[in-house]
Amino acid sequence: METLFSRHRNTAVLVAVLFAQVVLLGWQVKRPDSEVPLIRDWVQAMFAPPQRGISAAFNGVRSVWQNYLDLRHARDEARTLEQELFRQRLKVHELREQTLELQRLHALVDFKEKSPNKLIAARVIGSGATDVSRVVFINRGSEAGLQPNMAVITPEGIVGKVQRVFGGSAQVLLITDAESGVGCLLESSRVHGILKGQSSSTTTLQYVLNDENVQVGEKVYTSGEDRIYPKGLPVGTISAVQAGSPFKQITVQPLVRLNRLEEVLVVIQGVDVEPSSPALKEAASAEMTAPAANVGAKTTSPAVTTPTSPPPAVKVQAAQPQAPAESDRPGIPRGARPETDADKILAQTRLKAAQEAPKTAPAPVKKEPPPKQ
Amino acid sequence: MRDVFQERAEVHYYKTWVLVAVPVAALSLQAFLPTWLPGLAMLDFALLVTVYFASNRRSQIVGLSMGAIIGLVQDSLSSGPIGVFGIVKTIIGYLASSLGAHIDADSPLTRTLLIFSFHYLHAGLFWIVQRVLLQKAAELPGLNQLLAALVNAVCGVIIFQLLDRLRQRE
Repeated sequence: METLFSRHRNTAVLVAVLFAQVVLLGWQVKRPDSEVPLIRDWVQAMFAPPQRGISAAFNGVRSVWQNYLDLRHARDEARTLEQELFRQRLKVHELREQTLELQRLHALVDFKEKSPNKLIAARVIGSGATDVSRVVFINRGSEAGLQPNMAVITPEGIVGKVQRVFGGSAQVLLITDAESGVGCLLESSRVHGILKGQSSSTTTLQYVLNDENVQVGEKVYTSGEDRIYPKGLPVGTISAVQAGSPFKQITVQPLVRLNRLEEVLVVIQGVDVEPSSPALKEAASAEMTAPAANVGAKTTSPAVTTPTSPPPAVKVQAAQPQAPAESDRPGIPRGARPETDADKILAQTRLKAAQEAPKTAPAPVKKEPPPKQ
Repeated sequence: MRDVFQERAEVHYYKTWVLVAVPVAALSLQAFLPTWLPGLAMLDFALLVTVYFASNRRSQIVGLSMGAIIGLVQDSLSSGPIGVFGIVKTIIGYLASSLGAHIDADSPLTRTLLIFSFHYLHAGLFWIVQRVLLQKAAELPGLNQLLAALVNAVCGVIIFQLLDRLRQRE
């Protein structure tokens, strides 16, 4: 029986001899650009196309399976992932808010530790229902020791005062309310005035005479004359000054963003400090030596410090007068009167001083030339 | 013409020493003659011997074997890789023996045409091996090979006549 080999023996021998010589050639010669023998290159070229074909076929089948046939759970998985994503986003938002709250609380604690005042922290839990009254509610009340007319502040500045106290909460009258009044003084000129609310975002500094030197941008601090806010607390910045009759029209922009209150500090016991200023140091020392001619002035601590970094406490001013201090009207303790009375007294005094100023102007003093030597 | 295309041609046999000595002599001449006479470089004695024995023995296996051996020896005597001329002369030997089995390779005209054709075929196969297998630059056989082919054809006929005297007489 003839086989394929026997029928094509000569051709088979030819192919075998040629193959052997080709292999010999491929084993000797290397590719021009590398050290790889040609025979390796030929074998790789021979097996690479079927390898690529098999790989392509396998990848195609796998792609069809993954992208089309195996998608029966894709919809459910997508829905689950969307819900998880939503939860994670809420969580991120919550964590971000907590972080911001922690930062605020940290600043609050830091301020509280450094402040000479005795403070208690509180959280704003609500605000007034009307647009006319500017009040907020805090989560501290009589149980925490709060009493009316306690100052409410933040590290940035003053906020208002406690108006009404309940069991576990309290109502705070903001300084922007029309019924609010704060005794203030200017940092540089040491001009005193009363800060009045306008039921808007700004306040006005009243009872400042026209001849007083007031500059826009000047900082306003509490003067302590109202016996509610300790002296030296930052209030705001003068944003506009206009001459008026008989007093200047001064607009003050509060430092505290009263429409974004979240945590506040209530002053249980306040300490007066001097607002720091290079010129103020001389004025402060001059105030100490000069007689107390200003109405409503009281002896204060001789320490001169910045409101934000108060000095060691020298005098503690109790916002809760157990032994009421002397007031201008005997028998009536300070701090127990509404703001309007103090305002009236101060206003009347200033008006009187303004009216009497031209009459009591001293005669000009003639200077004699120095004696010749 | 009928003799040229007879189906079954006569097979010629040679003594073993002839089958060894003649290729050795041919390769020796090809290796050394051009150093004395550069013009003789166009003569391919190895090709002539391969074509002669393959076409006279009329056996494809003998033809390709002789071509392979002569080609490999020729490669060994050159600076290139072993196998280039081996592959080419293997194919030449196989084709020459195939043709010799069907035509009368004793005719001078036939021999002239045979040698002329195989010379070009040899050059073409050499180009293929160089370019395709070895990826080296090589010149395509063209008119520049015409003179060499003619010279080989004329000389080949003469050499074939001389080698006919070495046939075994039956």
